[in-house]
Amino acid sequence: MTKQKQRLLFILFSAFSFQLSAFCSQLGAQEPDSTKLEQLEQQILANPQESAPAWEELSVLYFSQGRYNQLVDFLRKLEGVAVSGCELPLGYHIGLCRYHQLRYLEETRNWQEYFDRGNFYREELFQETLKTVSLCPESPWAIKAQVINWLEHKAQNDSLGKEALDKLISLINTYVKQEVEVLNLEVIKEAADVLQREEEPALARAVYNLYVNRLDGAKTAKEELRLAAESALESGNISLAEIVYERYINGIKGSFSKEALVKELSVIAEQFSAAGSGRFKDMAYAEKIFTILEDSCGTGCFNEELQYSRAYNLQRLKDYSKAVQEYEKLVKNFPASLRINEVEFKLGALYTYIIFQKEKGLNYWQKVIERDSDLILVVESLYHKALINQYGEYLTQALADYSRILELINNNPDFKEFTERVQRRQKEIQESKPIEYNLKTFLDVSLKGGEPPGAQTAALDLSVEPFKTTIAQGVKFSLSQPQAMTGCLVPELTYLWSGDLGSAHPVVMTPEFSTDYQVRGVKVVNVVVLAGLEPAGSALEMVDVDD
Amino acid sequence: MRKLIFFLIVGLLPLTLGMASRPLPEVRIRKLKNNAYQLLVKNKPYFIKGVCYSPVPIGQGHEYDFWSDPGEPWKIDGKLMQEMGINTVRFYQLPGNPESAKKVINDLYQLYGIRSILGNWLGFWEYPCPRYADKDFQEKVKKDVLDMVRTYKDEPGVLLWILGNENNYSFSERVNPWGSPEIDAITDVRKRCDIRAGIYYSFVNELAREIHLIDSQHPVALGNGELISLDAANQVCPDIDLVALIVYRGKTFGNLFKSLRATFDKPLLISEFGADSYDAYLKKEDQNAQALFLESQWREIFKHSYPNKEGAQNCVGATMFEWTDEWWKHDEASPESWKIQDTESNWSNGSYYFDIKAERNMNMNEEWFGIAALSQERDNGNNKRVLRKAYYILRDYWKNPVLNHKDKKRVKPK
Repeated sequence: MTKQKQRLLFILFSAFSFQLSAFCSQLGAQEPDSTKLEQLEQQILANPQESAPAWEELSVLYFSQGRYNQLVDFLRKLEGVAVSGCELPLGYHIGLCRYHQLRYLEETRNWQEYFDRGNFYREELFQETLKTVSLCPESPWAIKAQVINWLEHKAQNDSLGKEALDKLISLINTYVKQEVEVLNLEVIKEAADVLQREEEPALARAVYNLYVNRLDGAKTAKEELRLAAESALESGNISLAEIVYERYINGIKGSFSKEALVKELSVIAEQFSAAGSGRFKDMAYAEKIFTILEDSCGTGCFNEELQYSRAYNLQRLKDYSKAVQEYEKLVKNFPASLRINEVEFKLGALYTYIIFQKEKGLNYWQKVIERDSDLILVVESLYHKALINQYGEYLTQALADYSRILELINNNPDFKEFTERVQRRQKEIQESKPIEYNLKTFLDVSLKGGEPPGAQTAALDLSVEPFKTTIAQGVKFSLSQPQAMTGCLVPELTYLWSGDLGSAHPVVMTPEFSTDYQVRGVKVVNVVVLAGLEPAGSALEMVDVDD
Repeated sequence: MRKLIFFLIVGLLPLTLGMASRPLPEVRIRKLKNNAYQLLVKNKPYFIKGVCYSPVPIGQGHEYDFWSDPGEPWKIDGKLMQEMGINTVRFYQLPGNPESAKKVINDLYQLYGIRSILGNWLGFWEYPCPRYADKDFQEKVKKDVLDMVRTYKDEPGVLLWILGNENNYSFSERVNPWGSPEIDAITDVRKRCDIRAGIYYSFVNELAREIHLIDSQHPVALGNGELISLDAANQVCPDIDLVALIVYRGKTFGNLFKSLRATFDKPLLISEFGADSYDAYLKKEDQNAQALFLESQWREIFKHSYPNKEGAQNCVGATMFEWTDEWWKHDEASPESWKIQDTESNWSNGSYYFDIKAERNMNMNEEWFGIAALSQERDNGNNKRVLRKAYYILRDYWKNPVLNHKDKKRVKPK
């Protein structure tokens, strides 16, 4: 058999290995045509090595009906009359068949057969896959057989799982040392995919690296690497995409001009960053690329857009101390930026409520107010400044700022909710009442800084989805469950929502709420979680609303 | 000299005879020379292979009196349990009508050899809160507990008593918070927590002491959520015979057994643990994960029991949560929701890693913990039991309980 034929056979058999179950389930309850089955079997028996299409058809028919035992019987028959060796490793196919059979029994909850016959099927699976591994240790079939062997040990949670996994890695390491011309790289990628799926990320990464090494070793053009990364990303395989991109970046770092490198790295970072349009975001990876960009070309190669993207990405990553640094670079290097008001407003909020540097925060809001070029952010900055003053009992200044807000808004109906909020604050001052409970509790927790009040307070994970929206489009704020030591008892938590809640009025029992906004801007939402009477934690989230 | 020996013999004889004639308790815990603990029933080793039992049918809520169910579901369940290898069930609380409860306890024991652990909430769900600092409340709870003991102590199927469940979580004020003018005046939350622990555990110890006066035949366990606050119990609970811990740590109990040795060295019954069979991330049933977790948990339970020298040797068994699914649990106030098996989660636990990526990390599905699922189909009035994979896995595992993961070799085919 020629190498080409072997490869064709391999590809055909591979095609229905792990995807077969899904394919079969699509076939539904088709009755297998027994004449057809017989014909196919005869065809294969007559010329096993030249009957790949018949093979595929036969397997699909058997699998679709859950007739695994018959398929194994046929494979045994085939073993008796025809092939051996690595061209058509029947051990692998028997193992694969038993693997799918066990999953099928689990899926259909046929526990009777699963527990009566399961050990027999399993033993056959182990024996047959090991047979293939020992007969063809340098063949791609060995890797495929060992994958099944390991998966079954893993499913069993038995003592041989680790040994099986070590063996798999060893087989892969041996296999990749072969000449590129005879390598089937897809098998390595497939094994890495399985490792990734089975939550072995470190090993998956290592095997993806081997795969990419050989891609590289095959003198693949840089352009091909880029395409491979894009393709991996497109299919949702972020791990692989990142590894290939890294290889690609290493390749282009020495050969591209500074301008071309900046352009290329920017495109890659944008695919993963929070501000970018990529479907599969990995903000930590995006920051890694931004760092490479900075290391390669210095801060100077960040244009305004890129600088904003990096800072915003860090904000979404909730790495606030780095985010303020990057936002400040934008303020310093691009003072004429169209985003300057937005960035300074955010710096105000981050410094005041999260980083516990209130004075810095107030300064940034003051800059927005003085620039006076974006009404919405001016009134929002005034509001937060006034609120801090109100909390600090600088009531005259607070009242002055609240009045200024109302003047600027000038009864614009779009600002109805905001106007009401400002009027509530004014009324509190005029009637010598404390700030409304939810908001005051948030300020109590967030403005004190340093050691959080109460031994039980912690930062909570509040998120908003989507984090960029448009007017009247819904967004959802949700708070991950704080890990409280209450066993299976649901802790009695109270959620004190405050800030710009848009059209919603979330109640204290709800850890999430949906809302929308009628005015563009940066909306700040706060929450404090109370356990009994004690704050268990607090959080702040911002959502960007565009026209 | 002879005279002295004669007098010694004559003098000590009645004492010796008296000791010999005093029967040993029906159920007792033996502490061995190496500090291992072993539960004995009728003087024979008894390892608790148990399950929490609350067979509430589809469409009924937590107030349903299954004890009086005319379909007698315990007879169906008892047979299945016996076939699986279960020897003990745990009841959280007994019903108002003791005759119905006695029938269930006796049927399970006489027909299937299954013993019962009887519990009492100690007023934990009292509205608006359990007032453990209040003497009147304590007296009320004490009367309830001692009445329970008097009523059931002579039933041959009774194994032991459990006082409370996860009541200690109320100390931190996150669940059923309670106080008193003195406690409420303390500003430090940790101090408030410590004072509550002292009050509560002293009260439970008092209950244990009084139970022993009435019933010398059955041990008394302190129910507790995790190991939390047990250092306080160690100071005030000399009359407690064993601890019954509720532990949800995922696939492994970690250092639980050794930590208990260090904090409150008593025999351990893991009175509630387990895994749900619903994947909140993939939004589908996952019997494999449940079976995998339960087998792993039981492996550790055996490992830390006598005589396995590798372990802490303080575990006397466990009752896993639970025999059948309970469809009322997600929203106990809404009878309509009791007719459907809710897939929304009530709580979060990162140790159940397989579905922790669920929205808001809410991955624990309270209505899916059953070893047996419930079918809408009825048989003699009872929802048909659909046994999950865990049933068969544990049935096989208990036949040959290998001690740890490494010992689990491939099983030869039948």
